[in-house]
Amino acid sequence: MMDPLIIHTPAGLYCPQADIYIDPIKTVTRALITHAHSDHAISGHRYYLATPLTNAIIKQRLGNYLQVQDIHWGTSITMNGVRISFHPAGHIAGSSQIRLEYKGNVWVVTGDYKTEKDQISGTYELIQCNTLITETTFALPIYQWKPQHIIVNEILSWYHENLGNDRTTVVLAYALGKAQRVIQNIPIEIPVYTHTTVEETNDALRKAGLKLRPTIKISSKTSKKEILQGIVIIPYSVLNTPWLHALHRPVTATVSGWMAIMGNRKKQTADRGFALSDHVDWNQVNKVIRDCGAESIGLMHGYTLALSRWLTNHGKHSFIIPHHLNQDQEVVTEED
Amino acid sequence: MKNFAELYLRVSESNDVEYKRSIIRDYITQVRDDNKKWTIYLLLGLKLKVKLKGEELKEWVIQYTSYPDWLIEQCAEVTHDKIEAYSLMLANKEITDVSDSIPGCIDEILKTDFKNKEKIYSFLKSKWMVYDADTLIVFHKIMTGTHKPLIGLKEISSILSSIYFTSSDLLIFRLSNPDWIEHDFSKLIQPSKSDIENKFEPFQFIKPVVLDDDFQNIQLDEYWLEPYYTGDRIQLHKFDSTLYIWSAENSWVDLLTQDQYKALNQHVPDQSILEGIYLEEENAITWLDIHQWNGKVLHSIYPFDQRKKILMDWLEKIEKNSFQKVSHHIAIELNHLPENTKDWILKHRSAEDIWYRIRPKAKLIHTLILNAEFDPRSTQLVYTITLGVYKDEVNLASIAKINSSQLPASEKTSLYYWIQNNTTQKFGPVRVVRAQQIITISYEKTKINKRVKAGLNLVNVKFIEWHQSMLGKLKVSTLNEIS
Repeated sequence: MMDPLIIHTPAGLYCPQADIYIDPIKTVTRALITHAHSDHAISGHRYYLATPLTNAIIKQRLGNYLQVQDIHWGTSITMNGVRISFHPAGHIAGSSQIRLEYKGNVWVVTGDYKTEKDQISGTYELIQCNTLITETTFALPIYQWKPQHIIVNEILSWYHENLGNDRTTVVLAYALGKAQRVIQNIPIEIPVYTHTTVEETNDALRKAGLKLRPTIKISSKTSKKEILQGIVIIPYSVLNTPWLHALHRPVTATVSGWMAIMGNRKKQTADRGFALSDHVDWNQVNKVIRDCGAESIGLMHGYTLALSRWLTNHGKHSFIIPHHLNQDQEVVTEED
Repeated sequence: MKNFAELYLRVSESNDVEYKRSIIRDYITQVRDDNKKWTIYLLLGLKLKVKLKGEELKEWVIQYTSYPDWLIEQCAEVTHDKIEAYSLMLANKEITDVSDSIPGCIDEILKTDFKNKEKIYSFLKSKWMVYDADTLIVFHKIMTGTHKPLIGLKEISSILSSIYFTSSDLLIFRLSNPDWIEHDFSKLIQPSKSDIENKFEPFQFIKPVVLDDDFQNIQLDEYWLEPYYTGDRIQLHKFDSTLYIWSAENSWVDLLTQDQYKALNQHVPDQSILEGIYLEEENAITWLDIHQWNGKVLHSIYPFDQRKKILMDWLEKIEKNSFQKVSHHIAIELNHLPENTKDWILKHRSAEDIWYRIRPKAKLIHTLILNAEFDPRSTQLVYTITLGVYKDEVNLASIAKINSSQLPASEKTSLYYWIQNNTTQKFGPVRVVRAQQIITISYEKTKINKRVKAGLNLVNVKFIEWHQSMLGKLKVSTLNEIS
């Protein structure tokens, strides 16, 4: 039997043959980064290899001094005989799956991903492989997403209702990823106002080439009446602060996959919750596993045990990769 | 059905009372009368006559989805609600053209033969194929009778009153009778009283006046004496076999289940009026008075011995039928002084309409502030402080909560800044503070509550004084001292 191409180490996924780590959680020499969320991209690595959009955010968030190298989707580099290529993951802008090939043995690390098109994150690409390492954040049958257009329509109808009730519509979304997805799907005739944190991320992405619809950063000069006519996008940290209460009768909603569960919608402080996720749901993850042709499935981050048992029952070999977030399955992570 | 489900879940999920009122109001003004009626019925948490068992539903879910039992159980653990887990698994994810309304759906449920398993399964499947997750959750909850009351009688009456200009009290009176669902909605909101409603008015509820005199100085032979109960005061009027219910706080229907209503209707004789108190902590009713009614209300109170006899007869009837276990028997013998005198009320023989309650002597204790919760939506400086005492030498147990509105304005502000400066942890609107600020409070008595860590609650807590930086100089009370 061949040695595994990727192994799990305390620093994260490691390819010994190429001497590279994937999304390492400790500082290393060479890091391949699937996307720029803080649980996947940390500061301190010697070299970063990622897509241009991901690198732009890494520089904006972690420091401009970092040594990053761009790699485009579909192109490959070879390190000590291992062919490495990045492919669209559909999670957030610039997010990638990473494919490693050595002597005909192909491993794919999905990172965080979703298969539904969202107008901003690139179209997920199904890659044939021998071993697939997939995330399982929402790998339970209770998580089955409604199509994006239905959720967007629900958000818009909520906005119109708020407008009729003379209340300002405020959407709580993670500044990188969800915020841009919501922004991009709001019709152009509705103005979108943003908090500084969101706007800084938008600027970095625009500079790196992302075509994002126009947004207006809220400043002390922006009038409340003007804001009332649009949709305000803010990060979670702004909830329950004077900044939010300075708006005209704000009404808030969280946009996240966790909002699929009634208990989570009740627990949160916002007035409403819309279940829009940037991760694969139960049906999508099972379809990917079925279609990618992998003989072995590595599971990480989420409901690994449940999916592993389900796959075993269906005659599929699987193994669980310990992850630093595995203990927090029910914690609402920043990313979703 | 979809619109009702959306309303139901939004009301259930929001903490904003204004928002809830506005969406219920909007919904009621937009739908047809039969829809309004069922909306009110279900929001009040009232159940249908037929019910599907949760276990049966689970069996059909397994059959339909082919998911193993362990996977379904794991899903239910995540949602903390089995009905929700089933609904999320079964729901249709695409938009479907479903135009059924809540009355239509309820009509279908009521027409389904619940003894014929095949028919129920095929009825359920027809809904699983078209309903989205939210609609299915509400549909399953209605089917299994697990939906909870989302609004009180007083609140819904106030909303209806604002739309139809019918008196809120009259609406409460009508909604208190479970038969209202059988009639047209127009009858419910009819602004003028019917003949029968005109005949009935509650007589004045007993509201004891606090008497500050010492119990020992009172000439007991001048007074009637009875135990003092805290709870919702109610009156039941039975006329022509129909029971009408009045409540001093207009909240009675929230406490009364349909079974209780039936039992009461069975045991209360025609042409009579009962006044009683619902004892919240014991889930029992204590009757104070029974008045025979012969065409008009007799505004009189029975002498104790007679009342006791009538009452005991009643209790016997009630207990025989396992309706309520009444743990407190009313009325004690005159001139028989109870040892514990703090929980009794007195009525002067010459002024029968006034009852007096003897104010218990307040006890003082020193507590520490454990945490403070701020209302994130309020623009006022309002917060709730949790106070604790020592459970043992090291650990503190929370014992009471007081609202900052009890404090004088200057102290409210000083304490606010103290909380800001001494916060050690934040959980949303809750701030955990350093346990070093002593507050003196008074309370009347303790009440056993096994659901709290301290095992008891303090009753009628009042803020007395807060002592800045007095830790070490004043001794914080212990749980043993209180209990």
